[in-house]
Amino acid sequence: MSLSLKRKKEIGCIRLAWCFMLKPNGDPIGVFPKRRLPTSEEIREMVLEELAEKGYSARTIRPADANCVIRVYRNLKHTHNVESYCLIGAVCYTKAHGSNKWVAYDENENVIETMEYENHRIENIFEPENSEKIETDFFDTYVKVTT
Amino acid sequence: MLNKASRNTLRNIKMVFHKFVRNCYFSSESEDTRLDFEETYKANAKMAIPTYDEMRKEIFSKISESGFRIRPVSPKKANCVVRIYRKEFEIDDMPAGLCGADCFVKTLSGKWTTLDSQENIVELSHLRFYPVQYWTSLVTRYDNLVMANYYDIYLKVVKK
Repeated sequence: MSLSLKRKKEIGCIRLAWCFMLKPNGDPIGVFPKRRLPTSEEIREMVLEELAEKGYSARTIRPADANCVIRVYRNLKHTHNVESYCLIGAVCYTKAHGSNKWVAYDENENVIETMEYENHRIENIFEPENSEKIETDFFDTYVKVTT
Repeated sequence: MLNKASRNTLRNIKMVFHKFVRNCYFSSESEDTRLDFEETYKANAKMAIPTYDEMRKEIFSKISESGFRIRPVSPKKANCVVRIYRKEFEIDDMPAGLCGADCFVKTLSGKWTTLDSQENIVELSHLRFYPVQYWTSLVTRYDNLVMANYYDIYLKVVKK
């Protein structure tokens, strides 16, 4: 059974993001469990935990049958004002109603981005007025989310 | 659509990286010092296998060197899937790691397939983990099946 629009928006709102300043040797500053950057797998597991908290279960599936895409992104060295930062996080996309596009929502249930296959760019948090977004590496996991 | 020769070339493109940490022997009168050393050694050894990003760069480079141009596309338009897998585990309580990549291409029947190290055909499955045969010839021989985490990247591959 496909997800209702309400559930798609609830899932599509799930978002994780961290920004760490880097020391000159490349180590992140700041406290995080295990005192190191989370791996892509760990970030993906956090998204699955967040889905579970909302009462959903998710299993990996072939893309044609998926109703959600978990995208984990990482930019391990972004420079702003001579300082280096590490930007990592995850976004959940669900299928837009009546369309084949994958979209993510904000907390007001508005579509804020459409998933692109060739690249992933995030908002420039250092210069919000700058329209140029920050490019990141990313990995996608196609899942079937059920209640 | 890729021709048969190109499909076979892609299926044979693989990378695998194993990392072992040999048993370390550290004698100290102080139990705390010995335990600190082991923890530090284990923590550093765990970081030694490539990350997903590093492995992706390597496999993309290898595909390009084999004479192809690649670009990420939607799964519907893809003619190649690169599966990058990674697993950190332990052998005899010491850290070990495995990281690699396989290329799957579509057969005429529409199935995604690759070849394993024995040249057997392996179909792409979407189970939670990717089973990887893992051999080592250290002092103790192991013949293991490791259930690795993985990510799939859907690509359009074109002969240069």
